[in-house]
Amino acid sequence: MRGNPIGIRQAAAAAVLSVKIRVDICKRLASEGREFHLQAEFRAENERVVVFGPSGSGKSVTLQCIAGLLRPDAGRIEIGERVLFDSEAGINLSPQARNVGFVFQEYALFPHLSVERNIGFALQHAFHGRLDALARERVSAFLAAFELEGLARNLPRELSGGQRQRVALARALIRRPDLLLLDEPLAALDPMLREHVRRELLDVQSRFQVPMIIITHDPADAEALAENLVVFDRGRVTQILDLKDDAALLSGISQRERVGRALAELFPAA
Amino acid sequence: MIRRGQHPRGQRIVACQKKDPMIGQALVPLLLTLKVAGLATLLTMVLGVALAYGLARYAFWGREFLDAVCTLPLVMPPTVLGYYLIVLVGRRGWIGEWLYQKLGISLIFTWQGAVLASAVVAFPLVFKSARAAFEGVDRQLEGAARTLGASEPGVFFRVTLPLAWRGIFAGTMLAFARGMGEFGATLMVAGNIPGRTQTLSLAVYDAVEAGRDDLANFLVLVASSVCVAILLGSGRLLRPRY
Repeated sequence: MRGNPIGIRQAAAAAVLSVKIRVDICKRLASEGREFHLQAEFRAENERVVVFGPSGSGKSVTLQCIAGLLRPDAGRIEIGERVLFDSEAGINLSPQARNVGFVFQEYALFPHLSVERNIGFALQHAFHGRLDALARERVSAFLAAFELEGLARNLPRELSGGQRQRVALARALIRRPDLLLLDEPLAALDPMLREHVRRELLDVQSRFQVPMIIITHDPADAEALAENLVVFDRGRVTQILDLKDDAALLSGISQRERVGRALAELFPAA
Repeated sequence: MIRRGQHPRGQRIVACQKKDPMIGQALVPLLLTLKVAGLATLLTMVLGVALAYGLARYAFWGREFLDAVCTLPLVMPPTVLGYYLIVLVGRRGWIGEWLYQKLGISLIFTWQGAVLASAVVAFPLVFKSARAAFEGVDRQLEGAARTLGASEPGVFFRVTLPLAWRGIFAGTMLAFARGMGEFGATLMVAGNIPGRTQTLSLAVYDAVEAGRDDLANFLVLVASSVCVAILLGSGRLLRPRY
């Protein structure tokens, strides 16, 4: 990180930002004769919540409900003091009003916009899409922070997987979201790169101080990233682990080991 | 000879009897054709894109039926379409009667009528390609724009439309070319009045009927050049970018 670019908070040594997340939703999805019933309930109070489970277990649907891209049939979603959705009270904030960042699995970068314009999307004028001077300065700070300076004018298709992911992260973070949702952020990357990107995610979090919910089906991701582990199976939350409580810290077992053990218990076959 | 409609002064003016130079005789129908086809294209583009977006993004009862009705002009004989239009907008037609009594407007035997006829005939070309183009836009990109705070019109104008633009533009160019060549429905609705509603394709017919091969050749050459130029121009604009 260079200098003190506008809006990028310096890594605070002690102040750990954590936000209470409460999700209790149900959603019925039907497609081509198959019906899927999601009943997800979990609370988390840590910086990084890893939602873990096999594909098709409802992780992604839950994330889209939190972001407001899907509407749950019933339930309640709360982040800190803000209620994003409450079917009983008739509250359903639009995705625009939720201030929740979303990094999609394949990144969903706008293919017709340059890296610079992708990152600046949230700051651009609503209609003609131009950036004012202040926004331009902020975009260049983000380009620098994510090591994308040389690629400002390139289109997403000209980037490597890792670069695309950094663009997606920068694009979501430039809006200063209250919460960042990442849907399988490592699945589209080559295995060689994953270890590096895991460290990068931790680094991004300490720089931007943003709580994250990360979806994965890779135990290695869960081991490296989880503070809270929420395990999904066939549309239900089967287990919630807090890996940051005092007992764990006192017992001297590393987080990685604890997650490894917990996962081994849950999925003995794997 | 096909004649529908009379010149306002009452006498029939037959283009081939005039002593004008050929360029003048070609220029009047050419400009009229460009005006009619251009306005018709604009009309179909606005309506076709709006309707295509609605059908691509919202599921409702009767959606595919509406799609079929909108596609009908593609397969129906233009004369049948022209007849429908006369029934609708003629002075005693459902809409035409109201237009005439309330606003004093009659579309029959006017160039505005020709615009309407061309627009209806060309509509499916814009509509069909726009719907396919909208359905080809990844919904996740629209979702991404929403999570980044873009308003609904912002999502449409900054993400959906730019990504669907190539398909819409291709359809629009086809619609323009189709409008340039419109004959049957235009003849039924607007007639064939030289200088007022006689478009290029009608002028060609007249010239051939009157045995004026030189004029016919020239008109055909003009029409062909314009169409080739449009297709070449749109081909350049449609080169893939991403």
